[in-house]
Amino acid sequence: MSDNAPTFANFFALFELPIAFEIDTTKLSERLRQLQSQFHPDKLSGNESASLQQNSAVINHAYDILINPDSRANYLLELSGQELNVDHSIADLDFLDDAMEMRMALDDAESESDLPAITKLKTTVDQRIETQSQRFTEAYAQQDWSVAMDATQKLKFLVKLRKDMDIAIDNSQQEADDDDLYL
Amino acid sequence: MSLLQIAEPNQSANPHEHKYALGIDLGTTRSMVAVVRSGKAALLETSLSSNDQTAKDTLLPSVVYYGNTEGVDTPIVGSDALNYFETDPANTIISAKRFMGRSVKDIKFSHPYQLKSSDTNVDAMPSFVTAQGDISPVAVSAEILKTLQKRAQSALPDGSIQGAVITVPAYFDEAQRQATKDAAKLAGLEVLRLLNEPTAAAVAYGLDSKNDNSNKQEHIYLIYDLGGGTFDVSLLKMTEGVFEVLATGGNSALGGDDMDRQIMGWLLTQAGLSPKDLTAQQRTHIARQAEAYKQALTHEDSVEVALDIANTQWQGRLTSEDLVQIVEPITRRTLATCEQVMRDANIDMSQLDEIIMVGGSTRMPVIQKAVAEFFDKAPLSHLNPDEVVALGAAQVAEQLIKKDKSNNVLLLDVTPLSLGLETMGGLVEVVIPRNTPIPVAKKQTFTTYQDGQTGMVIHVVQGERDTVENCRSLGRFELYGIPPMKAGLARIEVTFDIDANGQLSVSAFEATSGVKSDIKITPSYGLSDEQQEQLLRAGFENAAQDKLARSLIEAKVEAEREILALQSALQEFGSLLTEEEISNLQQAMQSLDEALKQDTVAKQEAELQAIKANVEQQQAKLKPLSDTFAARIMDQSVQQSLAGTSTETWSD
Repeated sequence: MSDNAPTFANFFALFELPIAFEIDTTKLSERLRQLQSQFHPDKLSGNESASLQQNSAVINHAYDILINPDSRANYLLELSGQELNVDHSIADLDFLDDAMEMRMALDDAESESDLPAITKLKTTVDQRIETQSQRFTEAYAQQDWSVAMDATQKLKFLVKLRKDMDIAIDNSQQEADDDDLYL
Repeated sequence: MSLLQIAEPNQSANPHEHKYALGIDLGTTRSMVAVVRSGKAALLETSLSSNDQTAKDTLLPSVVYYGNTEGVDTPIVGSDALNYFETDPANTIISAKRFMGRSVKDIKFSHPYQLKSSDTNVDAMPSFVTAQGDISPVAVSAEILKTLQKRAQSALPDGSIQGAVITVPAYFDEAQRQATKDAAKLAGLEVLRLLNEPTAAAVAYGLDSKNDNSNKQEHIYLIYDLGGGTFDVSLLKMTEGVFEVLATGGNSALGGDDMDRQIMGWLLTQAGLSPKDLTAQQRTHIARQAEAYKQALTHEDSVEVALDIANTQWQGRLTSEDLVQIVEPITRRTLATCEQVMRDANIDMSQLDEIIMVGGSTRMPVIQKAVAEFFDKAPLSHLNPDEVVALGAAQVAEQLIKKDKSNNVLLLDVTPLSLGLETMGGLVEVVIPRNTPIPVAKKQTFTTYQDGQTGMVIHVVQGERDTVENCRSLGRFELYGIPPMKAGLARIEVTFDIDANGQLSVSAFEATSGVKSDIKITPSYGLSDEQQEQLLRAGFENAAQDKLARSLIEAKVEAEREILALQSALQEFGSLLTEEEISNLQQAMQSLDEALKQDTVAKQEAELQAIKANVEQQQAKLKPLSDTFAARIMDQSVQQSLAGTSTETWSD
């Protein structure tokens, strides 16, 4: 048994942060470095390097949950004993229409390798993420769980859309082939 | 694919028992070994040839000769080997690194070798057909490592070498990393860490420049590492004592060698020839000429060039301006990768504090100018770009064998390539995205598609493309013995672990029934059956005892993990159990822990068997208790673990 395992009640406590949606990212990064300095295998002696990897992986996992708005919101719901019902799809038609439009615009921009257009779409989706984040913060503070859950679902959706935009940007920058490299 | 357990030996206070750890840069064109002595890292020299004892050098050409001219019948390494390249190129293996962990279809560049693929596995590494036999790239690298090791052994006290940190390109995938590990094992070298080359360079620079006049707490560096055959870019954030890789990218088939081939193409065109007019040997010959011209242009603005091949003679002049155009396909790609990495890290060019140039190819004025222009900043290169990686590796190696590690610099690296699973229609679903900080562990839960389904195949791939055929296949995990149930009821938990070396291990178990499923792993890449056989015959002693000790270590590792996971679970979900259940569980965990603490060093086979039996017995007692617990947790969190995951099929 490794007595070097970090003990914590929840991920926020591990990073010495208040349990809230708004997060001090500077403090989060600092604390990550402190924790890894304590628990990373390179800093500890002993033969149980597998357990040490585990500790370090847990810390990385906790950081990952907290740094992303969708997973952070989801985690806050978990801590409050609220379960996100994943079979329940988003019913908000306005939201879905808006998202569908963004998706179609993204597909168009991607097929034309229109980098400025994709970048602009990213700004739009960031605004949407900000809106839902604020919605979550208010709902969470008032324990309005149905709104909080709705905001969380939308955040997940939007974060995924944003990732797809990053992929589209990467694809637009790809070399067509390596013909000029291999003679 | 099993987890490699690395023991960290203790340092003795007695100076006569001082231990050393090596830093090895196993480069495409040149390799070297460095060690920290009296607090300073330095490369170790050796004489350049067996004949001339006065000319020494720290750089060992990564060349091994497997010919049989002049009565040669064993491998020759280094400059001596290089001498054979003009006359016997097919048996002189240069740039073996470009063949490590690669299958035949990966190898697209021009080379003079005859390759032999495995009959049974098209994804395995081909061997070089040489006069001394069929030689795998792993064996070639092992020869180079052996030479470096001998160099170190002659410079350091007997028995003082505790292992080595070996550097790899940050962009090396699982197959390439495993091949490097296999080469070290074959050479009898214990690998303390596989360290990414840009990170090693950052260590050498970071520890070097302690005096900083700015008041900034953290600095952001871009490491541009262009070697003989590989290119890496890493973005690092350095705060006091911590090196954090923000993102990394590269191309493990792009380097100085490719510039030589581009120059070759230009020379041929000037002379009115086409590469197709020449044999592979002839092309290689011209490429080596091109290399000499390239190097001359590092110091001159232009150079006289001549060709005499395939009944064609031609003379001309190659200028620096020409070179800019000729190597543009390479330069352009490196800068595009820099942009990609900055996007991944969400870092703007203005946030970069310094650009650091690493690797022999960055000596070229053409490259330095292109980088300076692109970033609008003069890059740093005051540490020898050939040596900086080995020096950094030596520094990390020294830290890893220290007894008191609390003052060690902390290296937080990332995995360079996305890890995914094959889903319906040959698509890839990403489980661990690229640039995820390591070590990392991710769990994914699957279920069955058909009633009564008892098996499942999980295909793990690595890469950024969305179809399986365009990614690196890492392995197929066959799970069988899933108890027949209605479709959708089984809970197969697969855990993906990437360790600090950037290497993957996968484990799986079926959670609801309490019946353990067996896993069979078929790695796709790496050594073919024939090569493995050869290597086994080449000298693994005490196979049976080794195997037992190894399986015991694996059992211990697994059990330790289980205990740790249970501890976490108890903290988070303890409320799901009664007091009595918690107490029983903890008792069983305690008994297992005690069984694990039994010493296994230097024990006889019978004793090891007894220890193993004891561990397994305690595990068997713990299992029903932890399975019940797991089932309760599963029930509670099953919705969440299936969220966003495709519970689609992997058919038998």
